[in-house]
Parts: sequence; C-alpha cells; structure tokens
Amino acid sequence: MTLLTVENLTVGYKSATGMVKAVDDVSFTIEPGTSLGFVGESGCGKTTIGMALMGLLPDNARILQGRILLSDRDLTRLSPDDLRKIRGKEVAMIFQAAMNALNPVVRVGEQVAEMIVTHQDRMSSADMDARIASLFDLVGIPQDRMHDYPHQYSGGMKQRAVIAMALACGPRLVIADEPTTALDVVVQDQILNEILKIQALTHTSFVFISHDIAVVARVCRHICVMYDGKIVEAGTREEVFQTPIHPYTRQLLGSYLTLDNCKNVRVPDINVRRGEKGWNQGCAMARVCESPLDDCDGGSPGWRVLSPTHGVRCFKKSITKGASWEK
Amino acid sequence: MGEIKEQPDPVVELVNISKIYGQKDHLFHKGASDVVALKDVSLKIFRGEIFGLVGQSGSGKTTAGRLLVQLEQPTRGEIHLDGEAVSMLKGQALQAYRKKVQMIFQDPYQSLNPHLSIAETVTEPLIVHGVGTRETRREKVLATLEASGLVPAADFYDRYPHQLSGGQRQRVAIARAIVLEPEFIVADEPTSMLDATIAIQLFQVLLNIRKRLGMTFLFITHNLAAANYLCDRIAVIHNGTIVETGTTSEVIDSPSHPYTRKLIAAQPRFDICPVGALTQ
Repeated sequence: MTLLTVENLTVGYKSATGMVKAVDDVSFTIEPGTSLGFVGESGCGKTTIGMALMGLLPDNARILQGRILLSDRDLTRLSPDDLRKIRGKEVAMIFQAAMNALNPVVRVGEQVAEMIVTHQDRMSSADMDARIASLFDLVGIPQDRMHDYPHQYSGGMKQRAVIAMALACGPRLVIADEPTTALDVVVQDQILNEILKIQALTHTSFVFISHDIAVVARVCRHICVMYDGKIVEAGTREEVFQTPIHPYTRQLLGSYLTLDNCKNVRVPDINVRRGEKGWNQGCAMARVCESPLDDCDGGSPGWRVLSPTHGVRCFKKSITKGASWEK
Repeated sequence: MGEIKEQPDPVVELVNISKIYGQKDHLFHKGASDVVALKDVSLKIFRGEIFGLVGQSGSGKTTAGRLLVQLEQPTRGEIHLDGEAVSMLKGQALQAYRKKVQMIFQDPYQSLNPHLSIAETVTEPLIVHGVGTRETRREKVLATLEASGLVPAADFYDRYPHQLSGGQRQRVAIARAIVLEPEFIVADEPTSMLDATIAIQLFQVLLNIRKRLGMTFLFITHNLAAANYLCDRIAVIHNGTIVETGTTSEVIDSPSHPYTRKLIAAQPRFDICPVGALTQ
C-alpha cells in the first residue's frame, strides 16, 4: 500500500505584494521502504514541500490546494493536536543545519530521549538508556558520547545525532532536508552510507531534499527535479540521468563539476535572470532555456508522460517519440 | 586557468604559521588540551593566481583564511603581503591592510545584512575607507555589480537581499569584496550552499574578475572538483598541516599523499556508482 500520496499540493506565502506560490500543483507518491529525492535551486520550493509534509509551515504560509495522504489520513485536515501526535512518531525530519537543530544546553542523549518520552508510553530509565544506546549504535556514534553536549561533537556527529532523533520513534517516513550540505565530502560520504544502511535495516521511507544532485543520486531510486515551484521532471534515477529531457535537468547535469569533466562543463548564461517569470505566462524557464520554442511564452506546459515512471513538463517533443499528453 | 610561472615575489606569504586555540587556563577548563588548528604552515601565493586550499572540515583551512584577513592573529609565524610583515597590525595600518585584502564568506543567506539594500551593502566599504564622493560611488557600485554578473546593475541597486536568489546574493557578496579593488581575496567555500548551475556561474564570475582586475584569490573548499576547475595551484591541508602542494594537474592527476587520494576517492561521481551502493 502506498505510504504517502501528495495530490496537487499548492502552497503560497503571503507577502506585501500578494500571495506568492512557492509550491505549485505538485503531486507524487512514496511506497514503503523507498526514497524519493527532490533537487532544485534554492527558492524552488523543495524545503516548503518538506515543511508542508511535517505540518511545520510558517504562519504566513497557506496550503491553497491539494491533499497530503499518509496512508489514508489527510494531513492537511488534521487539527494541530492530531498533527503533533503524528509528527516525530510517524513522520520525522532531519533538519538542514545540524548545528542549529540541537539544543546547546541539553545533553545529546537527553535530546534523543525527549522524542521517545513525547510519543511513547513511560519506560524505566534503564530501558530508555538501552533504547538510546541502540539508536546511537544505529547511527554510528560511540555509546559513551551519550552524555556529552552538542559542542563536544564534530559536525558529522551532530548530523548523526539529529538522524538518531528522527529515527527515535521508528517513523514510517523521514524527511531529510539538505542533510549533508554543511558537511565536507568525506563526512558526507559516511553519512549517506549510514542512511543507506539504516534504510536497509528499518525499511523507513525517505524524502531527500538537496540542491546537490549527486547526493540525491546516491540514495534515491526516484528523483523529482523542481524549478520555480513545479516538478519539471520526474523519473527513476536512470531515466533522469541517462535521458534527461527538461532543459533545467540538462543544465543541472551539464554543469555539475566532477574531477573528469572540467574541460567540457557547460556554463549557463549568467545574464539571464531566473525564476522571476513565473508559470502564468508560459514556461517559467523560457528565458533560461537553451532552445525555447514559440509555444514557451504562450501557455504553461502540461505534464507529459514518457514512461510509467518518467514524466516531464516541457513543450519539446522531438527528444522522445510517442510521448502522450496528460491533461 | 593559464599556467602561472613561479615569480620571485609572492603577493601573500605564510611563513611557519601556527594557530593554537585554548592556550590559557580558564576557570572552567584548567589544563584543557590545546587545539592545534594550524601547525607550521608555509604558503606562497603569486600575483594573479587562484590558489586552492583543499581539506575537510576541521582541517584548518578556514582558520588560514581568517588569519589572512586578520580576523584572528597567528600564535606563531609571520604573514607577508607584498613582502611586508603584516601580523599584529593595529589602527590605521590595519584599516589600510583591509582595503587590500577582502573576504567572500560561505553562506550568502547569513553574510548579507537584511536591513541594507544592495546599494548600501556594496557602498559601505567605500564609505568606511573614504573612497570617492557620493556621485562617483554610485558609478563605482554600478560598475562593480555589473562586473559581478548582476546585469543590468541598476535593477539590483535598490533591492534588498530577501528579493534575491542565493546565487544573486553571493554575487552581491563578491561585489562587496571587490569594490575596493583589493589585491587579494579570500573566498571561503563560496558555492557550497548553491546548486551546480549557479556554482559554475559564480566560478565564471571569479575567473572574469581575475582576468579584468588581475586580483589574486585564495579559494578555500572541500570540493576537489571545484578546485580543479578554478585553481592554478592547490594545497591539500589535513589536521592543520599542508600535506601536498603543487599545480592543479600535479595534485589531481598524480596525488602523492594518501590523504589526497582519499579526498579524490570521496568525490561524488554520480555516473558510476549504482543506486543504493555503499562506497568503501
């Protein structure tokens, strides 16, 4: 049974100039034990999706449209009290900046315990210690560091502690928002390995949010590429990497620096301003696109299905044959 | 990325620099062990080159950058700019130094003051250092914004940071750093918060600035691929010690130190590694 179904989710922020749509008609599903990755530039709405799933949108944000179904419950219709019971227990989050997600004056073990105390029946302190110790084992922190404060931890250990907090109640879905952005490549590699191991052990589903396409590629079988609030391309990792259709996906892959490609990496035109046009008059990417069509300034492009798993929001048809249109 | 020949006089030179934190006994940690952030680091950076300092977090690379812009003082050793010793500068001499050496910080979401418009942000260094008049400053700021890839500059002049994207903010931070036409710029992980398309654009901006204004850069990063793209020479730093220095191709193509090889192995290569596979 599908764990999470998001249908036509639209989230707006109230601003001085009116409602700004940060997430625009986004739909996706997640099966138990799988990972879905969201990639896109900062401001494309990927963090807003994560916050909407957690019910943690700021006060000036509104869910304008759509449903978030966890199994069969619509999270957008739950009262704050009911939401609080789900948050942390069934859906948990690994926050972006691990150094800011921990309370500096509380021992790390106690912060992990707080999660369990909030959601589960009372247990003896010996049981609690054993539970925390097993969580520390799971994320790879030595047990004797349980009683340390966050400042005694390195950046990578803090990130592991935040992961332990997210996993404390055995959630079915974990939202990881840029879990390795503040870390260097060596530690990032370790943390991603850790997350893959944990997923194999616990069958937790993950939503991965990152601007770094390589991070998402390491851990997710399915990838959504976002541009200016909309999903512009979605597919399996192989489909997105091997046959990218959308110009933004192609730009993102073409400009990703690896050690081998620095001579032929492509640099998008810097003088074109991105993400300001919006989707109301045609495609938001029309001005940045490498080969726009006449249609691109007319109507907003619809979602075109290329395979059962692969779809794209672009007018260009020449790249693949036999693609059908969806409403 | 032209080859820079070794010149006799480096713009910046670190001579046996050490930085040790927590030397003094404090009330709460008597006899606490010292943290050695940098140990006998010596570096020469030549005019017009982009020099990469590569290492993982905690390796001391940011400390080296902070020492160079005199946000901190070395425990031992000397820093030279244009052959003159510059550690322990104070007052006017320090202000004059800051005009020559500027820094671009890591996180454009935190390094710009949200209350200042782009114009105010980039004009502030000119005012602090008493450069130009009100009219010439405006011209100068507009030209600098343009050089930083914010085109047309007039469109950005009166905006505020919250109205800009991450990449645009970082270009404002670059404009703020180059507006005084410093000789030397320390760029501390300027793209680690940005997506690949924007990172590569920023590298292009830095290369253009180098070409047009002839500035010298220290580029601090943990991303070897970025250093490979941008830098003429690279030093790899590990636990406060430089383990390897050389031209970019020497270091990347034939690394001699095991730590450099480890860094190269940890570089993401999404086209090779299968989904869900653990790297070992």
